[in-house]
Amino acid sequence: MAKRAGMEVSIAAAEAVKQANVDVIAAYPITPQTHIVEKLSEFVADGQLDAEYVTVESEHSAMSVCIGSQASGARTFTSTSSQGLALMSELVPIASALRLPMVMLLVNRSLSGPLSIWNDHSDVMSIRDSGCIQMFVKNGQEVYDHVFIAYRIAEKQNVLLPVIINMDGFILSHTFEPVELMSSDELKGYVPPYEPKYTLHPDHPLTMGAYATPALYTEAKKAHDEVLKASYPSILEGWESWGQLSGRHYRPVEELFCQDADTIIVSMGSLSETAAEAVKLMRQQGQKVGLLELRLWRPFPFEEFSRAAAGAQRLVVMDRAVSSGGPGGPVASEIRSALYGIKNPPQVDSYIIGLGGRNVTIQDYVKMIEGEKTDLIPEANAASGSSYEIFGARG
Amino acid sequence: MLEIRFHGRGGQGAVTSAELLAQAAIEEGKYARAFPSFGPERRGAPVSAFCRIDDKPVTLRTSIDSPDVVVVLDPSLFNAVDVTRGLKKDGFLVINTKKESKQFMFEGLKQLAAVNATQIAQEILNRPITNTVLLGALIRLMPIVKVDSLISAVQTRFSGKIANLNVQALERAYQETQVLSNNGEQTLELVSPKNEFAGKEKVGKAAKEDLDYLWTELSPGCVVQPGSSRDNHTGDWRSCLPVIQKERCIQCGLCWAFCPDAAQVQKPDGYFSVDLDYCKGCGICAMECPTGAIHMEKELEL
Repeated sequence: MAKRAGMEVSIAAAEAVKQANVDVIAAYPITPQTHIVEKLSEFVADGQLDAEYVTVESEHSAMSVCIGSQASGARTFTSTSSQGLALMSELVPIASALRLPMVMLLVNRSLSGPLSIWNDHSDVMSIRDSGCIQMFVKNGQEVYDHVFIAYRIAEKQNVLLPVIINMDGFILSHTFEPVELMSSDELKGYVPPYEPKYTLHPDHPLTMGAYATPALYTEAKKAHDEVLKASYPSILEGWESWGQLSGRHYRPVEELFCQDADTIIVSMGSLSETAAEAVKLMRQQGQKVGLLELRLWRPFPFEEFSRAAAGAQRLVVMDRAVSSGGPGGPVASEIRSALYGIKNPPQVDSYIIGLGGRNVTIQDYVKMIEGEKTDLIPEANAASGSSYEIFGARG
Repeated sequence: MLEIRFHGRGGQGAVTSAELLAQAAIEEGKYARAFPSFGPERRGAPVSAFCRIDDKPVTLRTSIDSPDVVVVLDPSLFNAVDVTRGLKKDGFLVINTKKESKQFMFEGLKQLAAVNATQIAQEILNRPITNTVLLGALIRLMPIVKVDSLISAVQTRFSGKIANLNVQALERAYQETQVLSNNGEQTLELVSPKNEFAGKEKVGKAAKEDLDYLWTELSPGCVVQPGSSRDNHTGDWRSCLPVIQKERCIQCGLCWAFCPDAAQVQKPDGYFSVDLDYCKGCGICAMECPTGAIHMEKELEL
């Protein structure tokens, strides 16, 4: 089996992109994504990766190049963060509507303002409904693995959708840790050659991106929605065959002590590993707590989630983004919807944490599980009907 | 509530018609709403506009699919659009034609108003903008609003000479409009405008319109394969037509070279003819022809 090597997670990500044998990379550097694309441009410049690295003047152009290259049949990669994604976001739903199976590593960073280069999930939540497959990973190994998994899923003939892998900025991207790299022999065949359904070619003209009148737009949206939902088994297949190949197994939701837990903490991305330590600590103290890690964000794994969470009395949902003036954090709102209509649903407490790079400690998880209120103004939201807590905000 | 649908070509003022009628109704203390079919607009392309009038507030914001009255501003539209689609039984039709009006009567139509609106517009306004003319015909058919209210709406909308000429056109149309009632005997002999062109419509028309597609039938990414122009006859919205005088043609092919729609086709005898399915009537061929063998004619007059 492959040997563990110490490296920065960004470098592991770049290694994976190289090994996935991409044809085109178009990206604009932005903190904290920079190390990934710098490394990739080195690979291309040094002849280690036979690909076009297109230097562009903005993320808008980066995504435009990606759409063009993927439409011409080239396996395409991009990566961005925060404001870069915001600038790209005009084009992201076009890439998915055109069914272009590119892969994006989104190195999560908070949206300005105030200006912040640090981590939270406000960037990805802005493209939540863009029609792409979206998943969260929690450590360097998962980042590396999911580059391959993403291409395998994206390029399946019955999927053909962009896949966005969310990895937390700095907390993952700038951490040096052990990662098992696969050899080319071990990988062989896991990501088969890309066979595009349609390509732009002067000899075989066709139109991509034609407009749809009111008579057709609804049907186009319905078809897109259905294909995204129907990608679920293909996503499972991608993980299962990766598990056979590498021995590392992934599920849409990962459970830790959920079966008999009264209180389950729900996490995404890099929060999960620290949260697991908090849960283990509380278990040792005899408290029935569990951890439910949401790996797949779109399509949302309603069934698996409900099954895993249904037995608990209370869910403590951690969000790294604020839906200002809304009913709760974006993940918590989703989960309230997912549980609506089941018998005796658990209470869902929405905690907004880790904004703009704020550290979240084991003690913080313990406090949230114990239901501690910290923002000191619960009455202020009572009338609005919104129910969430911006945890740790000094007041 | 009375629901009226106007059909015209971009630039003929179908939308203005609907708005003027609504304006007149509102001035009389009634309630009305007027709006166009929303979308990209091109001069000459088929457009429709809607007007609802009622004694109580109008709340609907949906397009009118089963109108009480249909007003057709342009005779060539019978070729391009199913103008009477959804017209209520015992509904009303107002048309612009120089033909014998009887032939437009069909079963289920209560009354028909016909006027040679293009001629009136040309003579008074010096251009084929027929909207105020057809409004004159409409209120001759049914006094939805008073003539004075409509004139006042025209004068509010336009000013000076243009307002006066439009009032003249409206009044003349009011005088000259022929109203035909369906007495039941005629219906068997006569053909509806839709039926008259039914055969023609189907020739070469799209096998499928947008509305015919199920979501399951769309290609991934809604890719459009080559050959869609076989189905989309982009010449539908032409209002002028190139006419070639063979005796002046020297077969140089400049019309063919310059035509942006590849609608000039060379025949085996070396002369060119126009593919009417795709000619948009832009006039570039007439402009480029070095011998003046091509001139443009208003399609309506042919």
